[in-house]
Amino acid sequence: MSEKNRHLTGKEIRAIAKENKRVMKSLEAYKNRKANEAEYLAHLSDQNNILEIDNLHTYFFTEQGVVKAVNGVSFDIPKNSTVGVVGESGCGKSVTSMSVMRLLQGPVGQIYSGSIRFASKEADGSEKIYDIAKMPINEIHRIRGNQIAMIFQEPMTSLNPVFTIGQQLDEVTFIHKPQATKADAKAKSIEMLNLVGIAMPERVYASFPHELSGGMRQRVMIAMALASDPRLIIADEPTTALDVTIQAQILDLLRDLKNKIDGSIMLITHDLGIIAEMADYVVVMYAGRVIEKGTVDEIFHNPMHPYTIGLQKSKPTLDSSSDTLFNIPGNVPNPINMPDYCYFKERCSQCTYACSGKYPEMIQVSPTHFVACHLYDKERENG
Amino acid sequence: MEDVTKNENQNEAATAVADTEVPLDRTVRLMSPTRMVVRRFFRSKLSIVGLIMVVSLFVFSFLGPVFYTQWGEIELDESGKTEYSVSQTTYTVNGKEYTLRQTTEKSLKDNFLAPPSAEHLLGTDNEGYDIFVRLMYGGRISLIVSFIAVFLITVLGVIMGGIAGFFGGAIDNIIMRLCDVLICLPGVPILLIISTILDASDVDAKYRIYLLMIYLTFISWPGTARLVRGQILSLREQEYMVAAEAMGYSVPRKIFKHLVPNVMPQLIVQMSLSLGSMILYEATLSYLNLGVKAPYAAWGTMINIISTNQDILQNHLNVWVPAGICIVIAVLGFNFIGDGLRDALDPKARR
Amino acid sequence: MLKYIIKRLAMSVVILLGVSMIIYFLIRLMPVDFIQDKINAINQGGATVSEETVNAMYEMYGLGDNSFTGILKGYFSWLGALATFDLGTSFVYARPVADVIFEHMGISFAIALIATIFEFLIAIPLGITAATHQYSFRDYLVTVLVMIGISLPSFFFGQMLKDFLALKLGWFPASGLVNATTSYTGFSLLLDYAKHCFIPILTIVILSIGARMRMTRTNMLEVMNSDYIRTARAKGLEESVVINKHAFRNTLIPMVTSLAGLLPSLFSGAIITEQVFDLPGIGNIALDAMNRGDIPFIMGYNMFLALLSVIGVLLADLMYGLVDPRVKLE
Repeated sequence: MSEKNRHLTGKEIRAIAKENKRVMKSLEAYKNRKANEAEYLAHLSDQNNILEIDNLHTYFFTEQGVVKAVNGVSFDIPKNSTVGVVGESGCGKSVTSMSVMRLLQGPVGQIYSGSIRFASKEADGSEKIYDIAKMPINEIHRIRGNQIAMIFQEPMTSLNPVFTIGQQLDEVTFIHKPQATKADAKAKSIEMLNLVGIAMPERVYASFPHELSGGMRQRVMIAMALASDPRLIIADEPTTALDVTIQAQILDLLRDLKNKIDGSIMLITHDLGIIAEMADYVVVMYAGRVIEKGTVDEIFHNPMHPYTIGLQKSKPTLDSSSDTLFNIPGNVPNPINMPDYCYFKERCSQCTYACSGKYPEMIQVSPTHFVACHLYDKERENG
Repeated sequence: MEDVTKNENQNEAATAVADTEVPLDRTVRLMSPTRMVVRRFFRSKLSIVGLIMVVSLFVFSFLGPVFYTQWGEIELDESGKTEYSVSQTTYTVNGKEYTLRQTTEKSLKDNFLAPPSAEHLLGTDNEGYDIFVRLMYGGRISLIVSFIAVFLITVLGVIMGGIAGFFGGAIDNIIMRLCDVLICLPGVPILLIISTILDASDVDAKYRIYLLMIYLTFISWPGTARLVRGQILSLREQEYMVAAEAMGYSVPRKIFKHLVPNVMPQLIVQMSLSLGSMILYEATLSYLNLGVKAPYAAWGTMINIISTNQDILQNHLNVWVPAGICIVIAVLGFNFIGDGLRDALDPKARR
Repeated sequence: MLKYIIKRLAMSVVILLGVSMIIYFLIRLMPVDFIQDKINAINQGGATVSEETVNAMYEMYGLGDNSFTGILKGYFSWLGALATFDLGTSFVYARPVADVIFEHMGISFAIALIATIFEFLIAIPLGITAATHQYSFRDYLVTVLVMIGISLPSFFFGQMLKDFLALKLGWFPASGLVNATTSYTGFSLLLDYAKHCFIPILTIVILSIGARMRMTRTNMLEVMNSDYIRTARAKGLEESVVINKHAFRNTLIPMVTSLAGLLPSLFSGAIITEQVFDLPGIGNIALDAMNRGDIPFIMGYNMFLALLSVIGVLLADLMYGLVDPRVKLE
C-alpha cells in the first residue's frame, strides 16, 4: 500500500527534466525558425469555415511530467457564427485559445502537434489559408491582433497601467494601417469606443486604465479587439470577473456586435447560460479533449455524453423544486498521468464494461452532432 | 505537397517524444511542497556550488587548526637569518678616487615575508606569522561573528516586527518610525565613532569585533521587522483569520500558528543573504583597522597591510590575495545559497 | 499633493531629530580626557588646534557637564547650532566643518555620478536581456556576474585593479587625483583627472552593477509575466515593441524612483574606494579625520549623511508619484 503513495524519485525527476529540456529545445527551435510561406500554407476541409482546429496537442513540460493540457482537440468555426467552448476549469479551453493566438508561455507551454488552419484575408481581398500551429513565431503578427483578436478574462490587469486608453487603442490602428495619421487613429479609436457603448469616449480616450471601472475596462478591451476589424474574436470568459449586472451589459454588447461585425466569435466560458444565449455551435471539453460537439439545439435538447448531461443538471434554475444542486462526483483527473481509458469513467454514472477499454472515438450522430462515449458505440456500428 | 512534408517533420518530432516519454505509473503522487523546495534547491548547480563553498570554508576554519598544528595564530617564526647589507660611497679627494665600503650586520630574528614553502604553505607576512594558519583563524572569527550577528538581527527583527504588527496603533507607529531613523543612520561612519569609543574604553582587542557586530545588529533589524510586520498585517486581513476571530479562537495563537509557515521561507532567504553581507561588513571593518586588531588574525586585517605598504601590494601577493579569495568564497557561497533558496521557495516560479 | 509633501517633510524632520539624538549620545559616551588626548595627538602631528576651537566645541556640545540636564542642554545647544548650518570647526583642518565638506564634495560627486551613469547604462540592458531570455545561457551568465559583483569586497577588488592596471601594467596612475610632478592646465588637466579616476570609477561600476542588474531582471520578469504584456502581444505588436515600449516603460517606474533616491547619496563619497586610491574625496577626508579623532568633523559628516539619506527617501517617494500614473500622493 505504501507503493500507492510513492513520490517521484530523484532519478525519475532527472529523467523528466532531461527529456523536457530536449523536447522543449526542439520545439522552441521549430517555433523560432525562419520558413518559407509555402511551409505553413494549408487547405481548409470546408470552405465555409474560418478556423479549423485539427487534432491539436498542447503540452506543458513541468518538472513533474508532461501535462497534456490539450490532448487531441478538433473542432471548426464556421464563418459568421459564434462557437461556444464549455467545460470546467482546467479542461484546456483557455489553453486552446492561447494556442490559436500563439500566446503560450514558452518554453514550458508548447504546441506539440496538430494544426490550426485559419482563412486569412489578404490585403488584396483574396483568402489565404495559414496553418497557425506551423507558423514561425516571427510571422504570427500577420494574423494575431490583425485578423484574430482576443478579449481576456481579467479586464482589471489586461490594460497597460502606464499608457492612456487612447494610446493603447491607437496602437492597434497603427499596426493595422501603418500609413494612418494620428488623427485617423484617434477617429477610429473614438468610433470604437462609441461602438462599445461608452458614453463619453473623448474622456475615456484620455484616461488611464486605473481611472475606469471593471466593466468600462472590459468595454475598452472589446473596442481594442474590434479596432482592427478582425475576422475572428476569441472571448476568453469575458464576463467572469465582472459584477452580475455588468455581465449582462457586456453580453448584450457582444450579441449586438455579432450582428454588426462581419466575423466569427469563439466564446469560452464555463457558464452554460451564456452559451445558450449566445452560441450557434457548442464544443464541450473535458480534461483536454472534446467529448461532445454540435449545434446549440442539439447540445441543449439532446445532450448525449453523460458529462454534458451532468453539466446541464448542475446548472441552477429558479423553477427547480430540489433544494440541492446536482453535482458531478469526483474531480478532473491529474493531467500528468492520464489514463488510457475514458477520462470521465471514474465519475460516470452510466459506466459500462467497454469503458475500461480504449479511449472512445468520436461518433457522428447527426451531420453536426458528435460525441465521444462508449454508450453510443452501437449507433456507430449501425451507421 | 510542401504541406505534407512539413507535417511529417513535425510528426517526427512528435513520435520521438512519445517513444522516450518517461513512463509514470499512476501510483506516483505529486510531491509535497517541502520536498519540492529541497529538490529545486539541489537541482540548481549554483546552490550546490554555494553549499560546497560554505561547507569547505567551515571545515577549513574550524577543523583546520586542529589538524594543522605546525604554527599558531600568533606564533612568530623566529628562524630569521642575519642579513648583511653593503653600502658603497665614492669620494674624490684631490683628483684621487676613494671608495668607502660599509657593511652593516642586521640580525633579523623574525622570518618575515618568506615565500611559500613546505614550512609555510603560503609564506609568512610582514611580521613573520604563518599566513595559511592565520587564514583559518580569520575564517573562524568571520564565520562566528556573522552567525551571531545574523541570529541576533533575526531574533530582534521578529520580536519588534511581531510587536508592531500584533499591537498596531501607536506602538506600531513608534516602532516603524524607529526603523526609519535606524535606516537613515550612516553605517560605516557611525561604526568609526563606536570604534573610537571602544578605543577610549580600552576594550580587549579580541572582543571589540563582537561589540561592533552587536552594535551592527542594533541598526540592522528594521529589514526583518518590516518583513514580519507586513506578514502579520496581511494575515490579519485574511478571511480565515476573521472567521477564526468570529468563532472565538484566540487571535494570537492563530496568528503565530499561521505566521511561522508564512514568514519562515522569506526569513531563511534573508538570513542566508545577510550572512554574506555581514561577512563583508566584518571584513571591511577589519580592513579599516577598526575590527579585529593585530596580533589577532582576520581576513580584512590581513589585507589591511597593503594600504600602507606598496611593496607587499606589488611583490608579495601571497600575503594578501588568499585572504581576499577567502572573503569572496564565503560571501559568494552564502549568496548562492540564498539565491538558490529564494528560487526554490518562490511560489511564482513553481508554475 | 502639497499637503502630502508637507506631511512628508515633517516626518523627515522627525527622523533627522532621531538620528541626531543617536549621534549626539554616541559622542557623549566618549570620555573627555580621551578627547583631550586626541587633540594632543593632532597637535603633535603638526597641525595646531587652537584653544579657541576646543573651547567652542566644548561649549557647542556641552561636554564636561555629565548631569542629565547638562546632557539635555548640550544636545539642544548643538541642535540649535545645526539649525543654522553651523557644524563647528574641524580640529585637523582648522576651518568650519561645513566648508571642508563642501570643498571635497565635488570630486566625490563627479566620480559617483559618472559611475552611476555607467552602472545604469550597462546594467539595465543586461538585466532586460536576462529577463527576456529567462533560463538561457545569457541569463545564467548574468546571474553569475551579478553574484560575483555583489560578493567582491571593494577594498580587495580595488587593490587588485590598482596592482594590476596601475602598478603592473602601468596604464594608469595608482593614486591621487592629479599628477604631482607636472602641472597641467585646461584640457590636459581634465585628461589627467580622467586618467586618475579611471580605476576608481571602474571599481565602483563593477561592484554596483550586480545589484542593479538583478533589480532590473526581477522587475522585468514581473512585468513580462503580467496580463497587459499578453494583451500587447495579442494586439499583434512585434516582440521588440512589446519589450521596448510596453514592458520597458513599466520597469522604468522602480528605476527612476531608485535613481531619485540615489541622487543625494552621490554626494556622500565612497569611503573605501577613495581610501584605496587616495583620492581627496569627502569619504577619504572623513575617514582620515575620524581616525585622528576630529570630533566636530565626525559629528558634522554624520549629520550630513543622515540629511542626504532622508532627502533621498523623500525624493524617491515624490518621484514614484510622478512616474506612476496609478499613484496619487495624498
